Amino acid sequence: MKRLTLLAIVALALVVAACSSPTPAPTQAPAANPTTAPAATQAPAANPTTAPAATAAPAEKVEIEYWQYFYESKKNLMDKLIAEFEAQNPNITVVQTTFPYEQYNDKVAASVPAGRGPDVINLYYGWLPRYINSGYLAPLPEADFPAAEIEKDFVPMVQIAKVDGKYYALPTAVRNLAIFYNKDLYTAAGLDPANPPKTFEELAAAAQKMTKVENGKMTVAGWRVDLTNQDHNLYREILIRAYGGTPQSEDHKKILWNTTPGGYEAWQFLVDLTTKYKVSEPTIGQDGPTAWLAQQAAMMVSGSFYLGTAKSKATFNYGVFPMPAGPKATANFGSFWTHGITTKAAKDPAKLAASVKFLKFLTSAEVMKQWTPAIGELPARAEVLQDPTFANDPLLAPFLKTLPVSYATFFVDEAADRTALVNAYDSVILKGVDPKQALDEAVKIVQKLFDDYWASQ
Amino acid sequence: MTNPNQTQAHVLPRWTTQTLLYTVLLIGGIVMVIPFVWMLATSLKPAKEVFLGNFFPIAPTFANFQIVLDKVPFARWYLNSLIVAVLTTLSVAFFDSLVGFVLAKYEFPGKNIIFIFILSTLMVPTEMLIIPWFILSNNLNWVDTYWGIMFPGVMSAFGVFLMKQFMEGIPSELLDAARIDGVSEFGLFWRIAMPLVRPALAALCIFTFLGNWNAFLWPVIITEKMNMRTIPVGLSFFSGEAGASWELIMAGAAMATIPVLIVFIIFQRQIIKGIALTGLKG
Amino acid sequence: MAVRSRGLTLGQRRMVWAYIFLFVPLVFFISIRVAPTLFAMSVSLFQWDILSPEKPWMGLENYRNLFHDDVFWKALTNTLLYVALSVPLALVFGLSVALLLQRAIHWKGFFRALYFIPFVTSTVAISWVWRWMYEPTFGPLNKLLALLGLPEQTFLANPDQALPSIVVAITWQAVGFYIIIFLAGLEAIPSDFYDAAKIDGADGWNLFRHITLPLLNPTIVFLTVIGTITGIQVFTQVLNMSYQGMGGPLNSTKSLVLFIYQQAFQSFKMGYAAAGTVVLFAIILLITLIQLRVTSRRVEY
Repeated sequence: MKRLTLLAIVALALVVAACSSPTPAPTQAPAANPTTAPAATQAPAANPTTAPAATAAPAEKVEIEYWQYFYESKKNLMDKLIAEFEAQNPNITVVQTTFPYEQYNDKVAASVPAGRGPDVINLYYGWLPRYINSGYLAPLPEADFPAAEIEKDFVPMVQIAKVDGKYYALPTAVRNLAIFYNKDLYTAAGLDPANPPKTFEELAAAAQKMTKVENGKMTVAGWRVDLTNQDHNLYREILIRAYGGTPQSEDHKKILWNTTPGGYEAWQFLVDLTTKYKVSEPTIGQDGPTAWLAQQAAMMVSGSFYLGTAKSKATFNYGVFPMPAGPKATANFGSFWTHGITTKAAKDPAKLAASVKFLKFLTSAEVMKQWTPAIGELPARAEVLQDPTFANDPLLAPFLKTLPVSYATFFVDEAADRTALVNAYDSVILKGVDPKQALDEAVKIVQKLFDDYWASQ
Repeated sequence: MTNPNQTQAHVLPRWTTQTLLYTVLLIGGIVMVIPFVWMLATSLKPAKEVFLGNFFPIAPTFANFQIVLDKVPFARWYLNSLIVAVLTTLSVAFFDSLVGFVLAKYEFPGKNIIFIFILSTLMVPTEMLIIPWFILSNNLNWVDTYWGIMFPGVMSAFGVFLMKQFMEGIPSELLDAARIDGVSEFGLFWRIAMPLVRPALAALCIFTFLGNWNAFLWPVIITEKMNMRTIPVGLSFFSGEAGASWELIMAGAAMATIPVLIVFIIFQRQIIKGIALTGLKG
Repeated sequence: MAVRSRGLTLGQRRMVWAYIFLFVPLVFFISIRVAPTLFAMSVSLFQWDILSPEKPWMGLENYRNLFHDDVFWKALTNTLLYVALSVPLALVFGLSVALLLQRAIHWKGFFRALYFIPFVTSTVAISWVWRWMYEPTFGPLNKLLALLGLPEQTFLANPDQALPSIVVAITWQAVGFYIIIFLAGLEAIPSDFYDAAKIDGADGWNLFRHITLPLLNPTIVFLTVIGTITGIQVFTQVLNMSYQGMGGPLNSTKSLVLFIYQQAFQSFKMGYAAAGTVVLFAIILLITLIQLRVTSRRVEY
C-alpha cells in the first residue's frame, strides 16, 4: 500500500507539473521564434525591392520542414538527397518528417484548421483540388517555375495540378499501371510467358486458361479483379478510353461513365471477367496483391511502385507486361505524389526562397535519375524518360511504353469516388444487380460529389 | 478457499467435475490462444513465407525482430509508450477512484447529474474530438510532448463508472465507524475505501494501461518527431502503399505484447492476494 | 478544522468535501471532454469543411441530409446489430468462463492469462489474424468445416456473413475483459452468503440463481452499459477486418463511427460527421439511461 501511495503521489505531482508548468513550451519556443523573428528583421529589407530572398539567403541560416508519408525507400533516398542539397546550400537545413501512409491524409487535414504544417509538403495529386481550395498551398512562383517551361519539360499528366493558370505543385516522379503476371502459372497453363497478351480480349482468354477450379471452387484466379486496389482506375481511365470514351467532361464537371461511347461496354467487360469468363472471384485471396503473392491469382493490375514488394515477397518467377489495347485505343492511368509549398512558408521570404530552391532541386533531372532506380517510379521530366538505362530495364519498360497515353483522373473525393465503383461492382457480383443500373447508380453518387464541389467554388 | 462448487460434490465425484472443468477450460483456452500463436509464428517467418498460408514457419528466423530493431527506433518508442501508459494509468487510478468514491458514498445535490454528465463523455467517439484537441494542443505547444499524448486520457469516465460500482459495495457503517475514530474524509477514501476495492483497482489499472499502450489515432496526430512516437504508431510504419509487411508488424506486435502479458501474469497474483486481504468478508 | 469551526452540520461538511474532491476531475472533464464535445456538436450546424476556410451556417440541413442518406441508415442498423449480438455473447461467455475459473483449484492463473491474451494483443494484429482464419480458400475455418462435412463459407466476402464474422472476432477479443470483471465481482461476494445458503441445503444451481446472479448485478449492469457504449462505437475492428477496409462488402459491415470517420477524414465533411455524432450520442445516452433505470430497479427487487 505504501508503495502504491508513493507512486500515486509521484504520478500526481507529474501530472500537475505537466499541467501547470510550461515545461513543453521552452523546447518549442526556440523552434517557433525563428519563424517570426526573421520576418520582422527582413521587413525593412523587403520594402525597396521584391528580391529579399536573394540577399537574405546567404546571410542567415534557414530551416525548412518537409513532410511526406513513410515509404522506406522514399524516406531513405530523401535523407540522402537532403544531405546533398544541404551540401550545395550550406545555409539551408531541411528537416524531414514522415507519417504512416494510411493516416497521412488525416494528419495533414488535421493540421489545416490548426494552422500547422511544414514548408514543403508531398501530397497525392488527387487531393490537390481540396488543398488548393483551402488556401493551404501557395502557387509556385511563376519566375522560378514558368508554366510554359513545365508544360514543355514535364509529362503531360502534371498539368492536372494547374488551377486558374497557376501551378501549385510539381512531382519528382509519376507512375502508371501494367499487368503483373506469374510466369510459372503462365508456363503451366501452356502459354508462352515471352509473348504476353496485347489486347484485353487476349488477356481474358489467357486468364481463362490459367484459372483453376477444384470441386466447383475456384482456387486460382486467372486475373483477380479488385476494384479496391487499382481496378477502379482500370475502369475509369483505361477501359473507358480503350473502348472509345472519355471518363469526364473537359471541364471536370460531368461524369460521363454511362453516357460516353463505350462506357457501358467497358463496364460490361470488367463485370464479364467475373460472371462470363469466370476468371475472378471476390473470395480469392483477401485482395488483388495478396492473392497474387499467394499464387492464388496469375495476374493483377498494379503500379511500378509495387516492383519492390514483388521482388522481396514473390516466391515464383514473375514479369510485367504493358497495359493491353482495347478495341478503340490504348490508354493508361497515371498518378503521382507531388511537392507543394505551403502558404505558411510563403509568408516568410527566407523560407519561401529556401523552399523554392529545395523544390527546384527535387524536380531536377539529376534527382530523377536517382529516384527511378531507387523507388521504381518513373521520372516526371520527359528528357529523363529517354534515358536508355530505364527504357531497357525489363521491369520498367512495360510502364514507360504507355506513359504518353497515361491520364490522371481529376478527383474531388478520391475515397468516395472509388467506393462508388467498388459498391457498383459488388452489387452486380454479389447481389445480381443489372450492370447498367449499378453503373448508373455509381455515376449518380459521384456526380453529386462533383456538383457539390463545384457549387462551393 | 471458499468455492461455491463444493456442494456439487454431492452429485458427482470431485475428480470428475474437475476433469470436465479442465477439459472445457483447455478447449476454450486453445481457441483463445490460436490467433496469438499464429501471430508469433508469423513473426518468425521470412517475408516470402508470409503469404503461403502455412501455420508454422518452414524456415523459422529471428531476422524480423532484428529488422524491426534496426530500421526504426523501437526502443525509444517502447520507452515513450511505457511513460505515457504508466503515468496515465496512475492518474486514472487515483482520480477515478476518488470520483467513484464520492459518487458512491456521499450525498450532495447534483450527484446524479454529475454522474450522467461524466458518463456522457464516453458517448462521443474520440475521432470527433481530434480536431478540437489538436487545435488546443497546437495553441498550447503540446505537440510532440508526452503531456500532449496523454492529456485526453488522464481521467476516464469508464474508470469512474467502474470504481463507483465497486465503491457502492463498501458498507457505509464501516466508513461511519472510521469517522468516529477520527479518520479524515480523505483518509476514508485512501485508507479505508481504496484497500477494499483493490481487485477492481487492479482491473482498472490493467485496462487503462492497455488502452493507452494500444492507443493509435490520437498519438498519430499529436506526434510529429520520429522519436516521440509510440509503439502502435510505429507499427503502422510497416504498413504502406504497397501492402503491409506482416512479418514485421507481427514481430513488433509480439515485442509489444509479451512484456505486457508478463506484467499481467505477475499482476494477477497480486490481485488474488489483495482479495484475500480485503475487509469485505467481515 | 476550519470547516468544522464554521458550524456546518455533519451532512453539510461531507457535502463540502464531496465538492472539493470533485473539483479537479470536473475541471478536467469540462475542459478536455465536454467543451470539445460541444464544439464538435455545434459544428453540425455548419457546412464545416476541414479544408475550407469558409464554414457557412447550415441550420439543420446536415441532419436533413443524414435522414435521407441510405448509407447512414445502413451504418446505424449495423451498429445496433453489433451491440445486440456482441454484448450478450460476451456476457454469457465471460460469466461462464469466470465461474469455471473460480471453481478451478489448480492452474487458475495460467488459464486466466490464457483467456486474457487476446485482450492484451494489438487489435490491428488480431484483425489480420482473423482475416486469415476466415480466408475462404485456405483459411483454417473452412478447412474445419470441410473436415466436418459442412458446406464451406465465404465469411467476410459475403454481405450476409461479414457482420456476424466480425462480431465473433470482437467477442473473442473482448471476452478476457468480461472474465476479469466478472472474477473481480465474484471474488467480492462474501463467502458467508454461500456458507449460510449451503447450511440451508441449497444446490449449485440455486446458489447461482439466488446468490451469485443477484449479487453480481452491479457487475452485470456495469458490463452491459460499458459493453453497449464501446460496442456502439466499434471502429478499429471494422476498419481492419472488413473486406475492403471500408465497411464492405456493400456497406454490410460499416459501423456508425466508421461512417463518421470517413465523412470527417476522407471527405472532410466535419459538419456532416458531427451531425452523425450527435445522433450517435443521443442513441447511446438513451440506451444507457434505460439500462441504468431498468437494471437498478432490479437491484431493489
